[in-house]
Amino acid sequence: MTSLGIALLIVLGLVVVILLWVVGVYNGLVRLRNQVKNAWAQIDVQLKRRHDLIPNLVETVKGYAGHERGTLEAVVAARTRAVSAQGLEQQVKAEGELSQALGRLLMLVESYPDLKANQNFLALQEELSSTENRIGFARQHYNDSVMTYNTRIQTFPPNVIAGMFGFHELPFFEVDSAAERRAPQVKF
Amino acid sequence: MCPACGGPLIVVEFEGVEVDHCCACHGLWFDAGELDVLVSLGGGDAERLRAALAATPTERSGRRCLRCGRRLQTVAVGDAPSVQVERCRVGHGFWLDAGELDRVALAATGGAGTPEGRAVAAFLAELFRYRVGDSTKG
Amino acid sequence: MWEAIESNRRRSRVLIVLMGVVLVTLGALIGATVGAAVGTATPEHEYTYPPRRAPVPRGVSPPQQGVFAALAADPGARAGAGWGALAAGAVCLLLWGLAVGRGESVLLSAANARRIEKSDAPQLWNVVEEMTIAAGLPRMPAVYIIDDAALNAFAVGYRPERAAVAVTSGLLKRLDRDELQGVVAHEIGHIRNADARFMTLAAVMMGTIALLAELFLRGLRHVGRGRRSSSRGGGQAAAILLLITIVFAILAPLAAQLLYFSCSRRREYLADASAARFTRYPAALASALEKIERQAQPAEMYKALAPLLIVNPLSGGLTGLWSTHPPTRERIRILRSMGDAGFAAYERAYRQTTGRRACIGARTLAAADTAPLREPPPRPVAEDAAQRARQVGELLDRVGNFVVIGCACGVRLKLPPGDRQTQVTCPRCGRTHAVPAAEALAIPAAAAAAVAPRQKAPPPMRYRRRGGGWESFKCGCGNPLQVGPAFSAPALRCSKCGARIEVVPPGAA
Repeated sequence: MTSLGIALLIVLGLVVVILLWVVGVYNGLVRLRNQVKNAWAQIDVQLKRRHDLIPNLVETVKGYAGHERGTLEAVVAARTRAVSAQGLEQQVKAEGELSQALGRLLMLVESYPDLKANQNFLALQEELSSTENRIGFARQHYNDSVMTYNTRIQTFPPNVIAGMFGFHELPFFEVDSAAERRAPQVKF
Repeated sequence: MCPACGGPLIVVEFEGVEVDHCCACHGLWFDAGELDVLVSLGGGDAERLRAALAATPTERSGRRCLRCGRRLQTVAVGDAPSVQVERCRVGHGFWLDAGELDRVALAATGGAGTPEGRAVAAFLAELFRYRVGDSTKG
Repeated sequence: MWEAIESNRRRSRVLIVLMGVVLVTLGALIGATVGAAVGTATPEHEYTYPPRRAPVPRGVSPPQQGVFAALAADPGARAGAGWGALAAGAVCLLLWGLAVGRGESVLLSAANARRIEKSDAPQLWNVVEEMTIAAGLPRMPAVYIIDDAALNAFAVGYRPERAAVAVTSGLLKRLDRDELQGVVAHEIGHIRNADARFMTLAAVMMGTIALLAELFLRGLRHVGRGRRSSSRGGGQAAAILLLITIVFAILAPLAAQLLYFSCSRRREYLADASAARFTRYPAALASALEKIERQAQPAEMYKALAPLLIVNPLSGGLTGLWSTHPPTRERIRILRSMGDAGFAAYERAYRQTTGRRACIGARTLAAADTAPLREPPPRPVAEDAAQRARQVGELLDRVGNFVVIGCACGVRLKLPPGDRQTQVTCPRCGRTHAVPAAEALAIPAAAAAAVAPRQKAPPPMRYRRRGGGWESFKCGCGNPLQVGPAFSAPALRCSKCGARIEVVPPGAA
């Protein structure tokens, strides 16, 4: 075999190694991006779950505190807005309002001991507080995933691959209003 | 035994806080930390309350601590009008006569003029709304 | 964030390889020893298996007297080494296959765990689901309850898809929601970090090493008596070989155990760090660990499960190098001194507390992420002293036979046993309650006797519904309960005392 042939073989080998590496990095990036997507979907699932719980909650509270019309209607209205919200920004805002309305409703419940002893209500309360927790944890997981992904596509050498195949940085799920941040901590 | 009148004491439990309550004179005994919990449940600042209750004692009271039997100390909580409450010398807790609870809460949370003070007072009044928190009947 | 797993995985691979080397070496040595002995007895024997693994360095020539030379010269030893290594690997594979195939169910049934659905323990179920989300697991692990008053929990699962979390009923009863969340987060951390998979493999290898060494040493005692080694040139070498093998057979299981335990402890720390990261609230896990630590030592049946449990129940005199779990106090101190909920904060706290270096991979820490702590739970916690006083007080109340009256307004009135009042006024709502005379005068001894069996089998309570609307009634403990028109479950639990109350629909017999 000539020296040219050996050189060719070496070059070919290098190309193959680089290709394999590119494929590996690319697949890793896709995996991370999918993880972010799944995390986002989970937030949606939990928000939907909260929407589904609310009619039940309102019905139960009505049985005891029907005359607290204003607070109950505010919750129903906030839910309607949240369900029909379009676009991320609007949705975040509507969900924040819903959290606040729910917080007020549950504060109000404090003054109805009979309601607080009701088994249906207690079960709903557990479901609701769990859902608030889940939303919080889903958001937390989303942000963690985004951080991992963003860090990966910013560092060298994966950033070269990321630039070639159009992997862009993804935004964090920031909660801007202080009220919304506190909302999951509403006393149940 | 009630330290004030010698009447029977019962334990009233609410929100995980246990308070000794005299059925005869409607005085209240709070073990260390329990008043803090109640005030913070009502939205008040427990730190501030603790600071107010740590005031220098003015005199020795004739009553004895429920837990250790030592004589209680009288302390003035809050400024004009201040409330005289009795405190255990080694920190077992506080004795509040009927009607003193909401005034302590007010004095320790900024007075009736502030929303915080009103909220705490309303919470405690709701909690002991029958006789205990009501100084006119007590 | 999850480079922790990566670095852990690398470390685990090193460990597995090390254990593998020990295992194969042990097999080869035993094989060679046996082969040399047999070969010496029957030198003309034909060996069909090509001696693959005979460790003969190329430079060693036959005339040199030494173990390798003797081995090279002795076809029996060479073949024996090959066969021994192969057999050791095969035994290990077989056991591993069994553990992987049936491991979860064997462990769970050994602990008497029963699988539950959401309706059995909604809060536990929710907490597991929350932590599944926080950890980003692809699917929620199965949830099991062990009917045991002791406080403990464990996670199993060779693959995340087949994972399960088991907690004892005592744990459910004694921990509040945040603490339960901390414990479940720790277990989910084990699943997320693929600890069960690794620990299964490591345990199987450790077991195989112990088994082989034990078999060899036992066999030696029988064989050793009967036969004298021949006076051939290889005889001396064979004796040296035998000696080396014996020493190795004694040391190998100990070495394997040390490796295994050190990795197991590291994984406990890592699961704690993961739990803090998931819940953003390390203090809850710390307080759960405190409660668990305070309990009495649980039953013997946990012995086999010890490495899996959240806190090792058998920690008697076993600390330091020989325990599967780090000291619980140390874990609590680390969790309590965390500045934020990130891995870096755990690492800092770990270093400060133990004085040792890294417990989490350097690559994870290079990311230097911070995760702000969650706000403390909405309900303010009384100072420790007050809390302890209350726990003691509650115990005394129960023993001291207080009469407890639950008022409809939500407060509970506790009357000391000496109280001779016939009625008592609720300070909150002004309702007057009659003091049940018989109970007020109950004899303490009889009451104490009544308490013990009651804990084992609570008396069945039943509420027969009058119609389909809103109905309220009282639990045996005096707690007011209500059911609404939509209530359809066969039973409910009292929110205060946790007793189960059957609810019979109006029409039923």
